[in-house]
Amino acid sequence: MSMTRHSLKRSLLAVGAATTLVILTACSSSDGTGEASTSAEPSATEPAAMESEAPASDLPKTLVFAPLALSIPAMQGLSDGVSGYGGSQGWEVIVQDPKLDPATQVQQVTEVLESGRAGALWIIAIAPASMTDVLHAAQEKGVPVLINGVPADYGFDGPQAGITFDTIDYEAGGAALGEQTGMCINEKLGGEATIIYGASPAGTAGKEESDAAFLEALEATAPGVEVVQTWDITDRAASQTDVGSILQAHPEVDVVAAANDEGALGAIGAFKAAGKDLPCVTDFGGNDEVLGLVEAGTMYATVALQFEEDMIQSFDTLAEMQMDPTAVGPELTVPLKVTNAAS
Amino acid sequence: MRGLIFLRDRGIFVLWILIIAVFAVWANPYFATLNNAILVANAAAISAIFAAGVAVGIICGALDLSIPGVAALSSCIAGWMITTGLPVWLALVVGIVTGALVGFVNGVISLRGFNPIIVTIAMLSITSAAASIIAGGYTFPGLTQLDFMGTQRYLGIPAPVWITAGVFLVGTVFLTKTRDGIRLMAVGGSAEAVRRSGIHSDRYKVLAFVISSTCAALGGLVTTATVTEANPSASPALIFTALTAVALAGVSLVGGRGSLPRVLVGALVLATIANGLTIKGVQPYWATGVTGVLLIGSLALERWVTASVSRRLMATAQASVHTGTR
Repeated sequence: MSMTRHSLKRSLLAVGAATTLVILTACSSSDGTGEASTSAEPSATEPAAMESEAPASDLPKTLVFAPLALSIPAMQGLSDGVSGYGGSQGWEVIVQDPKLDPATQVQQVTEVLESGRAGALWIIAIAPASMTDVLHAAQEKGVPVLINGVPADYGFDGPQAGITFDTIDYEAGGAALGEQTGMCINEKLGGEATIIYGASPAGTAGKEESDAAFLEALEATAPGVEVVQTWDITDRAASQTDVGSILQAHPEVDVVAAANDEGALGAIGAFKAAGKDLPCVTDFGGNDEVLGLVEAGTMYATVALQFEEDMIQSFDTLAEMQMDPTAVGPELTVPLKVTNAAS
Repeated sequence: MRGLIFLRDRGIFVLWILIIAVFAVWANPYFATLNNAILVANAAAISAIFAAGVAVGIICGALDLSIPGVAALSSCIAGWMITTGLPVWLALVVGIVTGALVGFVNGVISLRGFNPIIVTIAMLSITSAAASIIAGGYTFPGLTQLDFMGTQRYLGIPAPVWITAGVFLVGTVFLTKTRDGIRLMAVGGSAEAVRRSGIHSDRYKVLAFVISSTCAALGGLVTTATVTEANPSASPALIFTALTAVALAGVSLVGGRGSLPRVLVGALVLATIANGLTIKGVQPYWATGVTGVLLIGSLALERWVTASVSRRLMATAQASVHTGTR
């Protein structure tokens, strides 16, 4: 009797498991509308066939937004902006949080892509190389993608069908920072100054281009001035400590330029703690706190990436691409804006 | 023999003095100044507060990994309260009490037989999430009301240094001069032996978690005061820096042995290296690497000195038995 009961249980488990497997298989191979595919349909490795299988009109008005991590205030702000703007355009926005882990980001995006839930993807890739397969899969499924960087970052040799590349012009940002720093030196210090520069940590996107462009533009605007020391910005507290130490060796420093807000704000804190004047502070960031300091005259200028404008242009581009996911996507650049005392 | 015992108990002080001497020559004339000494003390202050919490936990056999989350949560609660116009003193009290409560919960759950490391990792996630929820994913900037415990100086010394001095003074007196403190250390050495002596070892384990989290909350509030911003991101670097200072100080990672003054010097060693290298304009990666080398070196030295002292003590004891002398 006991044996029979066990056998019955096993049979029921086996039937249940087999049914679940069949349903899952059917769902995973269905298109965005939830219809199960048949064996006569082409495989997912045939791009042309898949494009016709998932026409633009069938794609849901659901945008999947995959930022770096929601713990970064700028990313949280962007996700709020995307959700708000997308909602106003009649879209549902799904926000993911890969917590700066490339593997998690790939897994989360793949899951939502394979489920047919995604009508469009907006990815800020943590490790661009890891996203190459995801981009190919999205092309095969006819789901438009907007992703940061340039085609070469993802192994492409040029613009791609169904993919828009959105890039930050770090060179232009660094050049604007150098120019504003030079202008401050000329206006407030008669063209002579002792400068320290807060750089982004090694490995940060665009560091090399931005740092080089900063130094070049600084030399062009205020010839002869010298950057006496550079520190790596990790966070505000560490910058405050580092700049405090630098002031021991270089008490004559009167200009600070920083590659982000935390560096500039930390430096201001260090000068305040040391009871020293800081006539020129510039940075490449532009958060609300920094904008307030520019308005108050504490900082000379801030160079800011206009993520809100970029968000709108990116969203509108994605919505347009959904109408024809086979069309080659445009290459966008995040707008830059310089805010200084004169503006 | 005396030299070895001195090196075992005071080795970290010797190391610190050596580092100061090296930088005083190498970074002359900028390093060996009173103003720079104050800067080093200020830079070490915040890590030292976190290290004190980690040390008390480890001494009692309870490693608390939720410290970064508790710091972020306390900061954000205080930041939110100040931003909404509530009194600063109330915000600080609520921030500290929140830390103590988290520690109490950590302790109580751990006593139910759960692994304290897993419990505190879970609590790290919970407190980090709570901080982000309170801050809505953003920060609370412009908290200049906390300047009095951040950038303000008293008798020429920054507020965080005074706070740290207070924490270490109270902590040292508690651990070495009070019955509860001595019992807390004993629990870390052998909870079973303490239990057999009729002492409630569980109570002291919970107390260690409460002290650890309270220090974390205080560290978070001092950080907020220094940068005038409450940030919900729980930096894992906090726990690593604190653990490094604790390990440099020779606190036994299996519990029962350790000294808070040495932990303070451990934090000062790290701050001195970073300060000296920054003054010399050496890239910061070197400071990280040098710290790692120092850590392994100090562990090796401690092991060698401890083994040498034990060997010599055994030899002396055996000689006494054979000769009948004592």
